[in-house]
Amino acid sequence: MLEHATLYYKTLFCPANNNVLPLEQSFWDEVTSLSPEDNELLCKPFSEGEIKEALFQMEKNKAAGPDGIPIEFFQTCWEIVKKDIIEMFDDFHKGKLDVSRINYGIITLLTKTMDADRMQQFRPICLLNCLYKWITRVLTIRMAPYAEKLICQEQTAFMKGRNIMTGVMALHEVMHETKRKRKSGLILKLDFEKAYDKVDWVFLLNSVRQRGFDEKWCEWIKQVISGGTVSVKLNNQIGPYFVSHKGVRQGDPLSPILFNFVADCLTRMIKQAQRNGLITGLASNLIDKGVAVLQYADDTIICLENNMEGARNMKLLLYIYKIMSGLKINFSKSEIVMINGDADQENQFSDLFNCQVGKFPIRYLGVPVSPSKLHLVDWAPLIEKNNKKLDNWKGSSMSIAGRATLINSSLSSTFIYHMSMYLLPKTILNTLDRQRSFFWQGGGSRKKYHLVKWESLCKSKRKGGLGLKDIRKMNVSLLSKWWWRLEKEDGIWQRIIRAKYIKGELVSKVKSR
Amino acid sequence: MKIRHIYLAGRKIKVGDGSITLFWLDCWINDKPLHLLYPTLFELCEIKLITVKKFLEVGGNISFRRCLPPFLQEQWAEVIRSILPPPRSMSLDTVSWKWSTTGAFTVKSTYDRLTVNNTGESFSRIWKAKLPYKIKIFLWLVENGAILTKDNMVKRGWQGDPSCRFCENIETIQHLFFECSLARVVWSIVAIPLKANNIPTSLRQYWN
Repeated sequence: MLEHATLYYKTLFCPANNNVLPLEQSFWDEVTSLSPEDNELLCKPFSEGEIKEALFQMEKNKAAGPDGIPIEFFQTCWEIVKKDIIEMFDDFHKGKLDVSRINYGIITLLTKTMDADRMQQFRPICLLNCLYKWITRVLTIRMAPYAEKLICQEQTAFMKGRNIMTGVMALHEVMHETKRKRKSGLILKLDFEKAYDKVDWVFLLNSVRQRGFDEKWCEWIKQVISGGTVSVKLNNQIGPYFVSHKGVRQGDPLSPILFNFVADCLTRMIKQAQRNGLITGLASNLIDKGVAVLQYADDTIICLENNMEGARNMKLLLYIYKIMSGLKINFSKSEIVMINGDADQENQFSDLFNCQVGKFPIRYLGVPVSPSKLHLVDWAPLIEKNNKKLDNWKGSSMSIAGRATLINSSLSSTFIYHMSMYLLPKTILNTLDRQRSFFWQGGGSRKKYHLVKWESLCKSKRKGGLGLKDIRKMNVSLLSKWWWRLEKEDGIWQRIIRAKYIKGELVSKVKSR
Repeated sequence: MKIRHIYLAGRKIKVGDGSITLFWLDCWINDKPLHLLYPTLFELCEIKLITVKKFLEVGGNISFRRCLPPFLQEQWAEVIRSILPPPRSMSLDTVSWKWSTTGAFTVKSTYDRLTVNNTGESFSRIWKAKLPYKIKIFLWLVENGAILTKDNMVKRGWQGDPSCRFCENIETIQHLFFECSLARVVWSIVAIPLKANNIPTSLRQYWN
């Protein structure tokens, strides 16, 4: 088993074929890049405060890396070790530190599905040394504010001030608008194969360098990402160490940002193609050229007008992107759906992309999205998920206190995510409440008395309740946040909504949602 | 619809040039919009959606559908007084959230606000006590009068004798825990190691 796993990851991290097709510098001309002042700030020596901040940001109670030193050690002994640590950072700053000596990790395999029997069904989480993570964390903190500036708004992951739901909202509005205007459109949901592990380093470094990051900074990133060694751990046995040649680590704080830079290239390429009229996005009546691409890390949605030519261009573009970045699209797992299209066309497109035909509602980031109103059936998985949890708990006899804790921590939180996007239908809310009456029922199937009114249970503890959440009110409060965001922030969905409903009026005058 | 109302109720505007603030409908000088404070005036005014900027431009002379009777004129003067001195700045209006302390929107503050009508006694003594959680919940049930004592069971349609197992009285929570002779014996036994010299007669006694 261990041999097999090691071999699998060895081949996965093997050197990339050297067919690097670089993006030309001219591609980045119109893009805002970093100014010399920014670079000066990025490359200044590491201060003690900065190092300390990074240390105390790191989460406690995590599995330690292969050297066995947990983060708590550094946190409690900060005063004692700080001199040595600062010295180490100084060395790193001067480029004297051999990062590869602390950059080794153990890949731990976590199952993605219940009964995983193939290597693909495991998630390789890399346990790294704290020292290494510390260095990358410091780099991350420095880089984050610039990443916000440099990465397109289409990308909604891992950055301050960007919310996962804004992508879903934009997609929803685009689809709704297309349907409303009786236009025909194509939605392509892409699935990248082992996205993090396949990123090509040369491409990654190029895409960072071409944004105008200083040579010194690029050198640091190169040191941090390359030259790492890993080994696979299985059944408490550690396999032989080998050198990885591509990919960013899962479990390294810097990875999400670096990956965003890579993914951003795709967005920019698509936008460039859009500008040159090679492809057209949807909802072009609302915002200039329409929306063609939405991303959350590697979850990518592509919206195209019903146009064979555009679709062919898109396919070529994705192919080129694959050659450049090493990110392969798993077309068999991707989905294609058409709005207002006929089955014939749908088949043509699915043949072109060689992927399945999906149907509405599609699940984007775990939320069902559809151009029309969602039906009760679409919420069934949500109920089902809770039911499954309940079944597990029913077997074990718990005290009333145990049940209260479980309901508060687990049952009430599963649908918060969905409620921050949609106003759930009354029937669903009632069902969810009925599930929560597990509080009284406990394990047995026998009906038991509900001793206290449900409403009083939902009061907060200060008001004499048990602090369960009133889901209806929770739903409403979560949704009012959208109004706030609409007024305070700017992004793609805000632009769509403004063009669609508000039309220059004041927020307080607008009527619908 | 409803969500928008909630949002507008919690929104407060700090007036700069007044271009996005609605004179009657937005919260800007008070925590309540003017149309709620002076409904009759709002009913009579001609342009209901006037912005503060516009209002200042016309110098506060907005037209009403008919002549205001003296008491309404008094009200109108009051409105004008509350606005004085008129905001004169070139900066933009800034929106803030009045239910949170920082002025930024939080879901929690909204939720708390929506549940503000829930009233009830706080049993903070229970929750703060150093007891296992299940005992706390039991005490909470006692406070809510929701323990299945015999009298409660009878209320729920149980057919049986509601009298206490140890004496002839009806078994209520109060009786079972404090008044029954057996309970008093238990309490007095507990009192010995604690060196207490009286026997409690209710849970409240402990909390207060």
